[in-house]
Amino acid sequence: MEISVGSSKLSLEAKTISEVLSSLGLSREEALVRVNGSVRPEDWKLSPSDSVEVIKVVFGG
Amino acid sequence: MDGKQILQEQPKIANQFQQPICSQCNSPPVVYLSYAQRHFCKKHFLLSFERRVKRTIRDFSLLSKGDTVAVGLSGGKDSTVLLHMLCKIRHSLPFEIKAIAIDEGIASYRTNTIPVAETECKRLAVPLTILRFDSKFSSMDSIMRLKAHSGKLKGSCTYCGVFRRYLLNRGCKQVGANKLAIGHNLDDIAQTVLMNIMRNEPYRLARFSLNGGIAQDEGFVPRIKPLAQIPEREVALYAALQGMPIHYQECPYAHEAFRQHVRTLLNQTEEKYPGTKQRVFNSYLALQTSLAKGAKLDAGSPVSKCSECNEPSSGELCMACLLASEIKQAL
Repeated sequence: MEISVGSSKLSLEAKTISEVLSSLGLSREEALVRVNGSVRPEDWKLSPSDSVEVIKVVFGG
Repeated sequence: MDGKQILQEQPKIANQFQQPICSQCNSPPVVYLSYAQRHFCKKHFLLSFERRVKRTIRDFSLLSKGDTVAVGLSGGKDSTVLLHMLCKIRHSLPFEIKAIAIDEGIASYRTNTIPVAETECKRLAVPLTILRFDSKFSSMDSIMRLKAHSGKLKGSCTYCGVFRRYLLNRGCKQVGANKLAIGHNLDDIAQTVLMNIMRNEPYRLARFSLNGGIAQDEGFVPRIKPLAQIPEREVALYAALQGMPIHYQECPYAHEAFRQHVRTLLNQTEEKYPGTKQRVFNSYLALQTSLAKGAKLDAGSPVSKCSECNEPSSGELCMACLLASEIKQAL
């Protein structure tokens, strides 16, 4: 499935949001994930046709 | 948080796709709160969030009828959510809200968030005052250029933190506010507590508080932290669900901070042991009373006035004027 992270897009296989975050090396504490436009929790199951957007929300400063 | 009671419940997982559902209403959830083992849909998350902020305000007596509260507004998620929450609460507890934004002079960072602060204040009919570092000190970009050139100055967060606190305190007096509300969330507080312990600075911990601090002086405007029990990720979620126009961007100087290291450590620990941040917060509360008593006994020197700017200070010069003179010497 296609995952967008900020302005970049990448393709990876994942069954859940948790797997997406792990693949990107992100903690669930620092990101929100939208699936087909709606924010979903990390145990949300994904299908290959889903559009997934990862938004890093925790930064320093 | 009512952890003991809700820890007994298991997350609900139902429907043909085995997707999780809201623990309250069976709708699709927007979040799983692992420390409470609960899923929430948008409606129930927003309700829970607002209830927890109101509870913090009530439990720590952060607001009183007739207060004039200045919100330290950067235009980032924490302070923008705080401004919205205070505007909601204002309907049931009459108090006045003003906003103060500090422009530290960090190109392509603060220039993205100040317009958000202006838009939100206009939308909520809250008067906004913008104070700039370079009107009293130097812009952060200038300070960091000087640091790179001279190799003499301290880390960016030292100047930024001291100058920002200084201008916010002065700004409050300028706009007639008797309280300053800042958007520190649970993550910020857990990080501060751990940093003070790791640096062996218990008296910093004693001075740290949710509703003021131990330095009693009319020159200091008490700082309140209504988001103190809300994890950072949930503040971001609230902002996203309410459609707030937040820019998620890292401060270009943040990589210098020890805080960054502690933040990563805490997030990793929270992920593995849910509820860690709240437990650090609870430990701080348990320690704070006795630490503050000890600090008062040992503080010795009363608060006097800085000979340079007449703001409260424990020495001849306040920290802001000391750092400003350090910058002048490095020129």
